[in-house]
Amino acid sequence: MAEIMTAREAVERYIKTGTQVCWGGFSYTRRPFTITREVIRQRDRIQHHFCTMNGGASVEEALAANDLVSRMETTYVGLEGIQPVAYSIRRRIQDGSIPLFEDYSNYGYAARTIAGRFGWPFAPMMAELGSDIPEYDTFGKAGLRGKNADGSWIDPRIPPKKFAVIDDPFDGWGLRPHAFDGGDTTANKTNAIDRTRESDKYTGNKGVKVLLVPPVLPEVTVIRAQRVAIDGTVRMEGILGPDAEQAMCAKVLIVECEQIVPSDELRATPELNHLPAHITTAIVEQPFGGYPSAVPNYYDYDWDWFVSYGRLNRKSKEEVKEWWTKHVVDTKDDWDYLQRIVGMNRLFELRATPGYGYRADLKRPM
Amino acid sequence: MSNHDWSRAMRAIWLLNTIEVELSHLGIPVLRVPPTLRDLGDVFAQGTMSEQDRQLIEDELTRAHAILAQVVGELQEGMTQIESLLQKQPMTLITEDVAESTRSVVWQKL
Repeated sequence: MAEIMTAREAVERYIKTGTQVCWGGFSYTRRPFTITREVIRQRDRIQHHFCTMNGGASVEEALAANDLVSRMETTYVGLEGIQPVAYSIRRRIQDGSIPLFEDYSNYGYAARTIAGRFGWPFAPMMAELGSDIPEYDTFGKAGLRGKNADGSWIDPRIPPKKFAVIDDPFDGWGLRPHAFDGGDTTANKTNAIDRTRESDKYTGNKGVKVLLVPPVLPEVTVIRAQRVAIDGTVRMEGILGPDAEQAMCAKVLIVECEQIVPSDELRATPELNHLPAHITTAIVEQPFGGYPSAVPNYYDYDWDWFVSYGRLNRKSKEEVKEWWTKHVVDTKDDWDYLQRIVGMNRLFELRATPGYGYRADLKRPM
Repeated sequence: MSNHDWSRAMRAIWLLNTIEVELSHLGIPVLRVPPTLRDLGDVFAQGTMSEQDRQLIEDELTRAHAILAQVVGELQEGMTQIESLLQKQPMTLITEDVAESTRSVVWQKL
């Protein structure tokens, strides 16, 4: 049964030093910033954690800027679309304070969450083949994969291999446009299926190859939703990303939300719900808590925040961390941050225009 | 009745059916409106909020009131027409579509 609690209680209870946390949301949308900010407030206790997520990544950047990341397993990183370089992460990889960084494609990561959701031992895909991503294995080089002499896992959170490549047992049949006459589709041309048939790379055999990815199985997943029923049923609106999947992969699921509602409200249209009640461990209600990201049908992202943070992000590690100290660590909780630092006026300016789901007249200069 | 006439009749019936289904889903949150607004009334009565905060909330309430009033007006027109049909009275109302510019936000997104 899901338990309603404050952000402080949820972070104190479930996020310790080194905990593997999978952070939800996608790009500017539904980022779980209430819990992110609370982790930053508790940074002296937590010290560092194992950050797993489908990148973006304003949350990752915020956590890295506070020296809270010791391991990272992710995809594209940047300050969402506005700044395609994740300066806080990059600086710490360069100076060794994030020693372990593992990279997947966005599609590869999504496939991993699908495997985790359905309890599959792995998911088949082709996306990484032909790229150099399979050549890099930071966790493997660090000796974190596989088993100890006594048969126990070296680190049970890390799969024994980053990828495995096999010969397609169906010889590419599933990729062919059987239903159509007239040759290959664009997708098959992109996959260069004929060339892969001629290659013996990866397995030593000629023929179509399939890349297998292990599931994502985090200790904690944190997502943000618009509505959560009092029993823990979760409904998200707008783009989902891999949130439903990665929520079901986790041992502990923390859902922060705009509003907690009676169960009947979500039961009336169960086909619109994404997660059943028994999946949710903790519910944290914090209106506007997704700020500065967007929560569709509630409020838009704060473009000005991203622009100004993008400028700040180019400064030194110390200056960026000091900014977080002043703006977040020194606040009591998220209401204190939202009222005193952001201001309710600004939050109401971002309220979504009904019928659109976003703020129709928000200036977004690129 | 001809197939064509049945198609026209069913178009009206399915439209009303869609509204019934949607309203039945909406009904559960609608039930929460009076107690939730009473809570808000209590917050107002405490007098602890700043004038600026009070204005922000009042702006939201004004906007919501305008949208709800428009939706209720459009539904009321539909109800009047149903009553005319049931009483087999000639239509006295203007049956033109509601102009796009005067539709409530709820309908504009359609």
